[in-house]
Amino acid sequence: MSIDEQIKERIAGLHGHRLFYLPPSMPGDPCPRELYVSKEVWEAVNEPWADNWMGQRHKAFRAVLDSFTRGDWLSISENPDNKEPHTTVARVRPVEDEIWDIRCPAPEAMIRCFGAFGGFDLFVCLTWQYREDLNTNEDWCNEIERCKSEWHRLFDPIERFRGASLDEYLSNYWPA
Amino acid sequence: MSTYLTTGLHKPIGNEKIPESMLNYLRIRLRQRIHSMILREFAQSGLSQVDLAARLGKPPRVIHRWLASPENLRLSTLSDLVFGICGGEPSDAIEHPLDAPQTNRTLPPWLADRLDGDRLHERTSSPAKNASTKANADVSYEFSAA
Repeated sequence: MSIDEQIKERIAGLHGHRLFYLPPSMPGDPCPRELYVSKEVWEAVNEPWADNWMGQRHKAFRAVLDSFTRGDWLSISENPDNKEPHTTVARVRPVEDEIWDIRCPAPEAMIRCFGAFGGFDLFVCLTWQYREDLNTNEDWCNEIERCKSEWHRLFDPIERFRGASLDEYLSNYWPA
Repeated sequence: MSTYLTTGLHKPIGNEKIPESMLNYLRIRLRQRIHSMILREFAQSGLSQVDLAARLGKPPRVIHRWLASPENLRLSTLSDLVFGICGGEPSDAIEHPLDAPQTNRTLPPWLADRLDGDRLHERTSSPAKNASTKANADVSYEFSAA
């Protein structure tokens, strides 16, 4: 069985208690891409946040995740050492770990969501963090380790999906 | 501080203040959609960034930043970009996405099939296990419909 099939099999087993399918908020939006989120991310985008600065940030975060599932054209960077600072999807160091983040760089959000591709147009969001809490190299390493640990907890021993080129990860992308 | 809870999106009601978080969702959504439109047109144009930079008389790094980031573009910049890419102009149409029928609240077919298959398997194998599996499956549908 291919890696993406193994990942799908595991998603089906975890769905509803540890992983949740996240369709776009707008009722009529299409969803050609699939996003599965951990309970941590689910709560970050679905909690009834108060209508304050924090609530606005989390709604903005949800808008970017919805853009992914809606099939919007997105900028993506596979090389963490040579990327546009505000690209929407980016692979983080070290690239061989295949951890990516969906970035909400707008001043209204400044949230990073970490996870891995589970196949073509299918992403698993496992952890998230406010950008201002990712200051030092150590902060980044800790967050990436946290994401990897979460993957192991949910998917072990299945490896993360690894595409030969960006064409195998995503439709409608622009390499930034 | 307002304690209005941002449980979902809804259309404006009377003279009730629209939650800022909902306005923010729609702002970011529009920014993402405009960015998507620009990237789609640019990809279809076959232009290089250098070509586009030359057409618009801008440094290539500015063009790169506009393409890479869903920025809060000025209308004049948007007009320049779209005309520079394809000789067109952005539409002035207004959409009503909250009036659209709920077409995206079902699970992807592959997942629905597997969950149905699992439930059928559990139902025919272990009544005790069946209860917990069904509960999980119900939760999943409930979440997907939230």
